[in-house]
Amino acid sequence: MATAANLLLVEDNEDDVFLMVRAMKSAAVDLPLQIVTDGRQAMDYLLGVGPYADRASHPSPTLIFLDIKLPQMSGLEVLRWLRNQSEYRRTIVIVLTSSNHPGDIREAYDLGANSYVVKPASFQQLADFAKAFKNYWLACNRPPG
Amino acid sequence: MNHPASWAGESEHTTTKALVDYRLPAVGTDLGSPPLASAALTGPQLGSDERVNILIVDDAPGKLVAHESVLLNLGETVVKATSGREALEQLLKRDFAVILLDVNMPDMDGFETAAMIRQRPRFEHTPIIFITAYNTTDLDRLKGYDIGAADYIFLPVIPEVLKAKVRVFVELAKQRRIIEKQATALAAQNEQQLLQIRIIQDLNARLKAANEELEAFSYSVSHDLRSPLRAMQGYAHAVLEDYASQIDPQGVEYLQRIEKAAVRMDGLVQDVLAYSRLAKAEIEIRPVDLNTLLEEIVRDSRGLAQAQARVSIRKPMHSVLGHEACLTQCLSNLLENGAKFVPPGKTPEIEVWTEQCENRVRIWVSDNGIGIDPAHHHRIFQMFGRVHDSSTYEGSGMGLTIVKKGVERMGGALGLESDLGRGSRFWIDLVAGNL
Repeated sequence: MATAANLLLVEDNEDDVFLMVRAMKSAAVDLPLQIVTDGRQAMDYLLGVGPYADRASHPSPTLIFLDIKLPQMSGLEVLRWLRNQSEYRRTIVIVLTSSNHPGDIREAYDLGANSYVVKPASFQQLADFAKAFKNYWLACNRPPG
Repeated sequence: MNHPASWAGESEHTTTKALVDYRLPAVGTDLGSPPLASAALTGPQLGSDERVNILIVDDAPGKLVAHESVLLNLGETVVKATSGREALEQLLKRDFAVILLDVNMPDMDGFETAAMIRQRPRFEHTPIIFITAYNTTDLDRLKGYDIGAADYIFLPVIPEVLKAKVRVFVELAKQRRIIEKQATALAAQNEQQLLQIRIIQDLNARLKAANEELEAFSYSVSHDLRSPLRAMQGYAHAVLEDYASQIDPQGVEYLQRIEKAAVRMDGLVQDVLAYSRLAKAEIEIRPVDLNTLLEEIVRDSRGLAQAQARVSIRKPMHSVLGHEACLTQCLSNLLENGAKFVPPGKTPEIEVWTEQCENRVRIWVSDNGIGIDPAHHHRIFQMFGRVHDSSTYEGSGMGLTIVKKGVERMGGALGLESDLGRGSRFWIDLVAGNL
């Protein structure tokens, strides 16, 4: 069953959540965007357990924005885990982080990230990213389906 | 101790000489020798306090005194014992370079005494010379060598023979003493070196720990310091977008200043991170083709494009030995500085060329900018070393610090020629790549 396109943002910083939501709006990305704020919640959401058991209101994401520095469980650990879940083996994961540390970048790709984006310094650049994201990942790219 | 073959031979040989009782003539002449002469016998390496001990064991006090008077001439300490038992007591008190043992003694004879001496680990190898009657049988002699006799002297003793034979062992003991001293010194030196190695290892471990700490620090700096800046800038921007109509022009300007300051601070944090990464990065030195590298830098640089700088690259450029990523960072910083520090309204013109002098290549980056007063030249490579206030020329004050660190990491040198109002010519020296 092909799920309708929908996004999951894994981000613990509420300011960054605010800015990301705003940037997506500014780029007129009108897909549903679900938000979880730590690695454990991300796992629960992806498994559809606990507060996320209702798949109608919490659909399986077709694309995940994943921060690296998260409380309890790092984004890279979440990535390693989800690549081992048959349901999320191919799900598009865009790492969205403030780290441009070469080690993080390498590890993220090693673990199967599809893209790695360093959070830009200004909102304008984040809005530009949202636009580019829409044009490429939502328009050009063929998702695994 | 092995006894030299020639010595055994010589001793046989010397015994065939006239068997004169040595005592009367020998005592007089030998005791009359000046002390200087005897000092010379001990060899130049040792002072008079480095004397060794000689033990003579004989039950006849007269013979003891006679041997002593001959041997004193060697300049060493002579110790007498009248029995095997007394000899063993002396052994408890000090070391001996050589022991002279009369074979024919009551109670404990020379061979028995020697066997007892050998039982003590300290004297296991001390040379023993047996003094024995001329008519000693071969069997007895073999017995002596079995016990570890170094030599024999036959009665009656010829002073020259006694002196010569004992002197050999005295010299041997002294040589051994020197070697032991050297060995002790060497061991001490070794220990010193081991200690130094341990100190270095310890320092290395601490340096590694400090580096890891620094790594963790800069990692959290990149995360935690930058994230509030994004929020500041983002919210200021949101207020400007959503409430612009409700704020007067001055309020709008303040918000814009908040935004700009946040962006500037972010650039600063990023530059400090770039610097610390460069300082720690593993540098692999390889030949770098500057022709293509500079083309790529000019093509990709946002700073150069924004300033609409005219960059001319004088080809062909010499190749250099460097780390490509590091060199890219250094050259793009120099080029972007050239494009940035120009008087308002003037088109930046930048020229890049190389000169080769033997095995060094100098890369020149010249601009038509505002130039730098020589009084400030020493400051511009320092961290946050600015010559202009940041409102006239924006920047973190880290650009040239990064260049300097990068060039240093590649084993190169850098410098500049500049004067106020006459542009700047920066240079980087690296090893030529076409060797």
